[in-house]
Amino acid sequence: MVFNSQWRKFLSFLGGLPFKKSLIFIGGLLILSWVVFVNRFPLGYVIAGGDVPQFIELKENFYNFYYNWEGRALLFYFPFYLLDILGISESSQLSFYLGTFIFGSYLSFYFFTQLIFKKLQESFRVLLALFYALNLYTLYIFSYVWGYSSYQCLYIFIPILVGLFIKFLSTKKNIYGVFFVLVLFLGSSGFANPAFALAFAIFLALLLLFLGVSKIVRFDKHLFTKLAVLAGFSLLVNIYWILPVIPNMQTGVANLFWGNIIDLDWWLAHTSNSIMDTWRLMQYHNWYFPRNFPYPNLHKYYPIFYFLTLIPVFLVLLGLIFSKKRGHSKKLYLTAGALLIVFTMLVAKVSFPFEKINIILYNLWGFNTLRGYEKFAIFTPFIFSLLFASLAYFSQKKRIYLPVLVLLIFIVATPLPFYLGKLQQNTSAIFVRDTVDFSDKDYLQAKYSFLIKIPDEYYAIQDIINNDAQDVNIAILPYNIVDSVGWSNYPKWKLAGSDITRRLYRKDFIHANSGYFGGWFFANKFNNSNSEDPAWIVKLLGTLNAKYVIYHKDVEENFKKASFEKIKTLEKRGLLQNLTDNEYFTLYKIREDLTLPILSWQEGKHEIEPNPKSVVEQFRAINSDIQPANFKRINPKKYIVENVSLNPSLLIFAEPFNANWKAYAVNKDGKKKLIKEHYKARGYANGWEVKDSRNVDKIVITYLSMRLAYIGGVISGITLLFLSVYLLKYYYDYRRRN
Amino acid sequence: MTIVEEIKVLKKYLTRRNIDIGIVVLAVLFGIYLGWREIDTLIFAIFIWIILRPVQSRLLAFPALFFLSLTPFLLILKHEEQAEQFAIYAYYFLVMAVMMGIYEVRGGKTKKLKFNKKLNEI
Repeated sequence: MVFNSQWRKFLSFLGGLPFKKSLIFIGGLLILSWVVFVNRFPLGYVIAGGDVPQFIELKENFYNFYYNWEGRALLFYFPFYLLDILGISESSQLSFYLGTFIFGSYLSFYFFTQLIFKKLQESFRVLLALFYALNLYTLYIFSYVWGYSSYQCLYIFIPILVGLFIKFLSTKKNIYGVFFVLVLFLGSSGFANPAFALAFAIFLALLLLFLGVSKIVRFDKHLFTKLAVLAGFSLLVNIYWILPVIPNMQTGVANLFWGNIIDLDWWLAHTSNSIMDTWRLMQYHNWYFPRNFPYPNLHKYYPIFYFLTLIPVFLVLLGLIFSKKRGHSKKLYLTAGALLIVFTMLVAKVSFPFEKINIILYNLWGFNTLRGYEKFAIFTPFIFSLLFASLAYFSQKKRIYLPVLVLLIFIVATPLPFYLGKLQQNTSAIFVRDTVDFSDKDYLQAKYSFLIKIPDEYYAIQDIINNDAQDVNIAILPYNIVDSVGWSNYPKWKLAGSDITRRLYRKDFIHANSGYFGGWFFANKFNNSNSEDPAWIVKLLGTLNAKYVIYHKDVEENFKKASFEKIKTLEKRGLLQNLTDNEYFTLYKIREDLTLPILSWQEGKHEIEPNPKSVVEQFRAINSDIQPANFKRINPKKYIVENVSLNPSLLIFAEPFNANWKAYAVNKDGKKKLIKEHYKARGYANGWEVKDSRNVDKIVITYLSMRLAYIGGVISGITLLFLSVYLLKYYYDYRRRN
Repeated sequence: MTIVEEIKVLKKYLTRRNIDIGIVVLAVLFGIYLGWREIDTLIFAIFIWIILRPVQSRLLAFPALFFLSLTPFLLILKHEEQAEQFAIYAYYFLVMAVMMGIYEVRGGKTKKLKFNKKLNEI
C-alpha cells in the first residue's frame, strides 16, 4: 500500500514514531478498537450483579457519590459523569469502561517498554502491550463485573508506575520520581478499596528487594534518602483518601471496606488458586473462559486451549534456558522471575504446598484485607509481561526470535471471547449459576445475567420519591437472600447481586438483606414468623426513618409467598398506603405518624432489642417522648440543629451508629465544643446527651471522615501544585539548555 | 592407631565432596523422617545439592519444562490433581532456577554444561 507523504507524517505524528513503527503501533490500536466494537452492549441494558453494580445516573448521583465515598474514585468516575451530562446512554458507557481499560493498559505497557526496553523491536513492543491489555485476567474482570467499575483501575497504571520507579531507582533522577507521584495520583482511584494500595506497596517493596539482589539497583544512603522523599510525596498525593480511612482503622483494617467481620479461614480456603491456574492467569472458578467455553460449534477445538493457556509459563522457562549469562535484561528477567515465584505463592493462599506459610502470613495485621483473589492476581499479568519483554529483548537478532514471536502471537490470541465479541452476552460468569452445561446460554436465556434491563416501572416512581423534600429512607421488603448476604435476587429481571435500583433514588435504602440492630435480619424474621402482629415491621421501619417501602414481587416465589399476605394485612389496616402497584413491586407509603424524623429530641433512653416485642414496646415509648428537631441539612454529611435550648437533653440522629459522627455545640458567643457523650441510641442510631443547653445556639453534626477528606484534599492539592511547578521549571530549564 | 593417625584418616575422608554427600543424605533422611513422598524428598535433596554445588540455572529449567509439558495432556485426560502436582514440581524447579540465575548474575561460579555452547548459539 502506498501512502503519500502527508499520511506518513500524520501517522508518525500520532505515535511520535517513525513511519513503520507508527503503522505497527496503530495496528495494535486497531485490534483494540475491534475488541471494543464487537463487544458492544445491547441498548437499554446496564451491568449489575455480584458486589458491584454499574454507576448509573451519574449526572444526578455524582454529588451524593462524593459524600458517600468521601472523595475516593472521583477521578475515575468524573469522565463518566461528563458522558452522562453529554447524554451518552448507560449501555454505551459500558463500552467506554472496556475501552478505557484496554486502551489504557495497552498504552501504559507500551510506555513502560519505551522507558525500560528502548531498543525493543516495535513488533514485540506492540504484541506485549496487546498481551497486557488482552489476556485471561482482563477477560476474567470483564466476564465478571469488576471491569465496569473503578475497582480494577490500578491495573492500567501498574506498568507506567513500575517503569518510572525502576528508572528513578537506576538513574536517581528526580524527574522520574515526580512523574511517578503524578501518575500515582491519577491511578489513586484504584485505591478506593485500600487493600489494593497495600498490595501495591508490597509489590513495589518486593520489586525493590529483587532489583537490589539482582544488582540492577545499588543500595546506598543516597538512594534511601531519595526513596524516603518519594514515599513522602506518594503519601501526600494520596492523603486525600488515606486520611478519611484512618478513623475506620479503629475497628481494624479488615473492616475498612466491607464494614463487617468475615471468617478469614473460610475466605482463604475459597479463594485459593492453584499454581497451574495462576500461571495460566486463570481463576479458581469454572465460571470463566476457557473452562466456561461458550461456543458449541468450536467445542472440538477446546483442548487446544489447554495448550494455549500454558504457553506463557513455557515461554518463561524457555527464557531461563536461552537467556544470556549476564546483562541488564537477564537481571530484569530474574527480578521478574523472583516476583513470579512470590506472587504465585501469595495467590495460592492455602493450597498445597503453601498452607502453613500463608496461614501465618494472612493472619498478620492488615494482610487479611488481601484475602480476595484479585488483590495479588492483579500483578501477575504485568509480571508475565515483564518476563516476556526481557525475553523478547535478548532474543532479538537470534535464532529463537521467530519462535518467541509466534508463541507471543498465540498468547495474545488465547482470550478468544475478546475477539469474537458479545462478551457479557455469551461468556458472562454468572451463567454458570443455573446450569452445568452453560455453553448454550446467553443473557436472554439465562436465569441470572450481569446484563440487565431495569424495568421501566422502577423509573416511573422516581418522581414520587425524588421530589419528596423530606430527609427519609426507603425500606426494601421482603427478605430475599438466595446465596450471599447483602445481595438482592430479582430473577424476574435476572438480577443477582447488589441492588442497582438504589442508584435511581436520592434516598438511602433500608436493605431487606442486611443486618440491623447488631446483625438482626429483621426482614427474615418478618418472613418466617407468624406469631406476632405484623404491624411491628412498620414500626421498626418507621423508627429507621423509612417513609417508603418497596415491596418486591420480582423475588423468588417462596419469599413472596412468606410475606405477601402479611403486607396485604398491613395495607388493609391503613399502616401502609399503596402508592403504585405493578408486576415488579408495590410502592407503599408508611402512615405519616409512624415515620420518626431523622433528627429528634427525646428525654429518656429507649433501647430497642432485636425482637418484634421490644420494637413495639419501645416504639410506643419513643413516640410518646419524641420531639422533632429543627434542623438544616447542609450536605449528606453535615446537619445543623437549631433552637437547641428549648428541647430535652437527648439528641437522636437516625443514621446507623458510627463513632465518626461528631456533634459540636456552638454557643451563642460562637464557641464550638465537642459533645463527648455519644452513644448508640434506640439500638442502632446515634445519640448525644446535651447536658447544658442553655447557652447553646446550635448543634453541628458532621462526619469525621468527611472533614478529614476536606483536609486531605487540600494537602494533596498543594502537593500537586508543588509538583506541577517543579515540572514547569524542569521544562523551562530543559528548553533553555537545548 | 594413635590419635594423630586417626585424625589423618578422618581428614582423608572429610573432603568437601564427602561432606556435601553427607548433608544430602541427611536431607533425604529428613524427608523420610517427615514422611514425605519419594519425589518430594528427591527434589528437596536436589535443592540442598545445588546450594552446595551450584549448577547453571538453565539446567534446572529443563526438569521444570519437562513437568510442565506433561500437564496439558493430564488436563485433557481429566487428571487435574496429577496435573497440579506436576505444576508444583515445575514450581520447585523454577524456584531453584531463578535462585541459581541470581547467583550467576551476582558473579557466582556454576558448573558448566557440555551443551552450553550450543544453547548459546541458538
